[in-house]
Amino acid sequence: MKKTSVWKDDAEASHYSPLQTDLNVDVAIIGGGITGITAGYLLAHAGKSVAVLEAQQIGGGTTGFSTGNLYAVVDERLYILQSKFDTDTIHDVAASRTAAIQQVENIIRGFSIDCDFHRTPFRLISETEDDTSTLQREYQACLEAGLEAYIDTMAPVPFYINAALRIDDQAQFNPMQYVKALATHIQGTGCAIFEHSKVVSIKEGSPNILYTENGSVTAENIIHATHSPKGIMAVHSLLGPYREYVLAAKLNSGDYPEGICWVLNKPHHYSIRTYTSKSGESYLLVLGEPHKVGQKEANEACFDSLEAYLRRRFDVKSVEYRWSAQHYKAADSLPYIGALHPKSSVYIATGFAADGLTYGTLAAMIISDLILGIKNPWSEVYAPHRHNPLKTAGRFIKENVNVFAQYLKDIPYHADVETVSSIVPGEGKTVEIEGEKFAAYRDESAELHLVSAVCTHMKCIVNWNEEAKSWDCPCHGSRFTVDGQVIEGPAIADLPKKETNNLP
Amino acid sequence: MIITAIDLFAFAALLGVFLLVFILKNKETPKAVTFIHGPVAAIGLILLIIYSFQYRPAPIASLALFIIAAIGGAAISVLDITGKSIPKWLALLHGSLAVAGFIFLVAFAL
Ligand SMILES: Cc1cc2nc3c(=O)[nH]c(=O)nc-3n(C[C@H](O)[C@H](O)[C@H](O)COP(=O)(O)OP(=O)(O)OC[C@H]3O[C@@H](n4cnc5c(N)ncnc54)[C@H](O)[C@@H]3O)c2cc1C
Repeated sequence: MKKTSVWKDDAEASHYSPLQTDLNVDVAIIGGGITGITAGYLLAHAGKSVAVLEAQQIGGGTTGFSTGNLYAVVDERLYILQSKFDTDTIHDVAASRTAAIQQVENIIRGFSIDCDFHRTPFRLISETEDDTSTLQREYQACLEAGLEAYIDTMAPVPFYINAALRIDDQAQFNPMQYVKALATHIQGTGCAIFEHSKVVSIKEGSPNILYTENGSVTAENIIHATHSPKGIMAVHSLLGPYREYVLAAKLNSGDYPEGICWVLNKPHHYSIRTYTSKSGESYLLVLGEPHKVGQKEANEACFDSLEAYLRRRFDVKSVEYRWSAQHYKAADSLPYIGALHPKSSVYIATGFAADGLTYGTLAAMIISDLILGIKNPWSEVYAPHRHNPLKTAGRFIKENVNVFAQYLKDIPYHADVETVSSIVPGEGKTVEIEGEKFAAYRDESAELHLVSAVCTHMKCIVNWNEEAKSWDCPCHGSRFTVDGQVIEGPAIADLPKKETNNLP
Repeated sequence: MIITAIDLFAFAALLGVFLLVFILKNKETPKAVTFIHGPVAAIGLILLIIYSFQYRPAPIASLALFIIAAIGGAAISVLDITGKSIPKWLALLHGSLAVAGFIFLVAFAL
């Protein structure tokens, strides 16, 4: 079994050189996922000079670890959005997301991108009477949002269903192939792409300046297309970071279901789809088991639960791939897309929940319109500076009480273990040395990797992620390698390595 | 009410001394202590403000000192959480003002 995404395995590696000079452009984009690359395309196409700075590889963030479904509804349900906001809002959400899917299709057709894009039905499936009442509410909301929805009593799955909500003409693709191919088409056409060019500091002002290790980019506008914006921003108090798990399995029967299937399972759902690789191999993908980043011990068990779930419903032959990734839920359930404040030249695109392939594309459309001075019909719906205190309050309080509770776990003279000698190979633990907390990982060759355990974003103590072998911050979702390098999340600075001769 | 405020300030002072040691040694402050110290002191201050509105004479000198100390404390917390270095003089000044406020308050209550 491979511990990577099926998309990553099925896409060719990209080779863009790192930034080695100082550049001056109209728009600098931090992050080369679906949001950054689509924004780069739209802006360069409109005549702007653009630079995309990607810390790792194009598509190597969450985009390349998603499940590649494109749909007009939302993870958190349209009927819940409708009860928080109103019918006009869910109409806008459905219309804007439908337009974003169309944008993806137009790009694919325009550049003849080979990424397995196909139109397919979306189904929300209930297995019980109880879940069917949820499904009925969602069906009603879909109709009121202007979507053509149907209720079926059957679905192309090999297990009993009570009912299924169907929306035709949604889509699936290979997100990694799409983003990588789009990047090759836009490179050099007014858009310069740099890989392995992590932005290590940001100077906001006019102009804005982004610094990487070996060069800088001066720009009139900057876009944080990093999933969670970099640095300390008020918006982080409105986001809840969640990790989810994906398995790709082969079936004995070869009878793979078509379409996007979300199977209700309170309080969440499992997302199931089929993918057929370039070499013709089919896989059944299942996504689920969400939990807050850095707050689940022994998280390998999430894969076991997911596999057990899958085996109860399908004749699984073998699990071929497994991976995990994270997303950010917005306090009022709508993403934050646009300028930080009305006069700002700094743009953010975040809070997509698990709907960000579509929302990321939509974010690119909205932000490029804002930069180009074109009126966008949906910019106000998603504006980061919207004020919705009542709609925001519930989750805002829940998430921030949780963050406060994480801070309260930073008790003096208390860590996971008292001595590093008690850490066995493959294990990561926090340890207190001379009054300070360290994150200690012993690799398989028994070498100790010791970094500060204090997150460089807002100073929570990081926790060990057993499955991904990383240090994850339970407050705002920053993640670090065992040597302290930032993997994702709002942190910009790495965890400092600690040299100490005085190991307990 | 004033006795409760004194108790809370005394507890906050103990935690404050503990935190000051970390700051003076250039070490990360344990956030559990930071996030108990601040709210405990804030509740003490709120009680003192309520007392000052309800009774005469009011402990004006200690109230003024605690309010200035609280502003300093809030600034220190923001610097701490946002990863900026905390000027040691600010931490010492914050502590000194709070101690002075505490002495005035005890003297007032006696
Ligand atoms: C398991 C899972 C499955 C999902 N499935 C779906 C799905 O089926 N459909 C759907 O619509 N959505 C899905 N989502 C959500 C979706 O994948 C994401 O919302 C979307 O990919 C976000 O794209 P992005 O471009 O904004 O961010 P990313 O793809 O994460 O890209 C951000 C990029 O920024 C780079 N970066 C970060 N910091 C820096 C820095 N300092 N300097 C330079 N670069 C930096 C990163 O390396 C990364 O490449 C899923 C999410 C998860 C977790």
